[in-house]
Amino acid sequence: MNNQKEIWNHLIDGHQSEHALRKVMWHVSRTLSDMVGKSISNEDPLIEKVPLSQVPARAGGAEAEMVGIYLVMGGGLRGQAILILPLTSALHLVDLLAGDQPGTATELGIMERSALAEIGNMTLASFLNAVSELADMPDLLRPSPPAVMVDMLGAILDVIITPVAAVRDDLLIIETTLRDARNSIQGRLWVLPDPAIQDLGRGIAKAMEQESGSKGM
Amino acid sequence: MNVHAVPIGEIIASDVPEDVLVAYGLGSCVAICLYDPVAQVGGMLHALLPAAPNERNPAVRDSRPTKFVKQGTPLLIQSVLSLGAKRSRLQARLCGGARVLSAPGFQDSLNIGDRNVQAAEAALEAAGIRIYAREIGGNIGRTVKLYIGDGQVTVRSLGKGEQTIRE
Repeated sequence: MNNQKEIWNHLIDGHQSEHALRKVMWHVSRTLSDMVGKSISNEDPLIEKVPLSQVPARAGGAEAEMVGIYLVMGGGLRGQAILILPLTSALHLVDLLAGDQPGTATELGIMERSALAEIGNMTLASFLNAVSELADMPDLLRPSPPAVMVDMLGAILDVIITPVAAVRDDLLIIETTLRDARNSIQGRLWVLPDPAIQDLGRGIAKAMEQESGSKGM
Repeated sequence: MNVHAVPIGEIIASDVPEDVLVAYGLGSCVAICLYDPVAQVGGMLHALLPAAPNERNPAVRDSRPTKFVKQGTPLLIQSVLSLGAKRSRLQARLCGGARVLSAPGFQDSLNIGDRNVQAAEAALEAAGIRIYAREIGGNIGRTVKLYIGDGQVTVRSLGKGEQTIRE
């Protein structure tokens, strides 16, 4: 694979995309598990085109207090990635990373945000590394430093919607849900391909149209 | 009260006094609220970007104009006029335009909120509509409500209660 459209298509629309994406997301959950010393599993990845107006509802509602750990992918594979966590899950992750008892962290100060940035960095880097291996392009990836946002979900999601909204009315989202066995940690990892690739995800759109058409019969 | 969520990139207008129009969790987006106190008609635009970057680009031309402040504001005005409001009585209130992402390395994203506010001020000035109150900028998300019964606009942020914005 020698360009980002081929790579994204391999993950999204290709014959083996389901297998490839599962493998990539498995790497993500394993990295997160290793980092916090607790088993974190991931649900089967989903690929969806979501109308911009429905994006906040897709992740829990625009007014919900959430933590978003965000980075931009540069280099040979462009796009955005965000790990979205409820505040309670974010605090729990901080405690695990620090080796503290659950409930020790009660707010997200500078140290806690720094810990979350590191978690986001490692988690999202594991996604990028796994894709890089699949594409056999070791020099593929130039992610930005991670940014940690704590706010209403709608306000956080404005950050990822804005770069896409200039040219599209929907958001192509690759999603996996990460959780531990007791659901004390729950997060959504969203990876958003470069919106400049106009026809990416056509296969998904077609499949969704066919599905809604067959439901209407 | 009948609560109507105004999603990203959409307009809702109403002449029903029991209606409340709400834009939830605004970050860099802006909510432009228009109200005619005599006709008791109001409307809200929840816009994402200041203006369509290149209207000749088919992908942009065919997309939803209400995503953009510049293109959406005339449509908002039209929607309240069609319910019986008069342009000369319209009052505007402007909310949002925050910088939620303030980390180093994201300079391009930093001023979208500011530019949205500037675009809204310019569009309202061009339409001859006075801005009666603002709750803009900063680095926090906001939920904005417009009460059609009396034109009151309130703002809520995390950790703060709902507060009416005043001139």
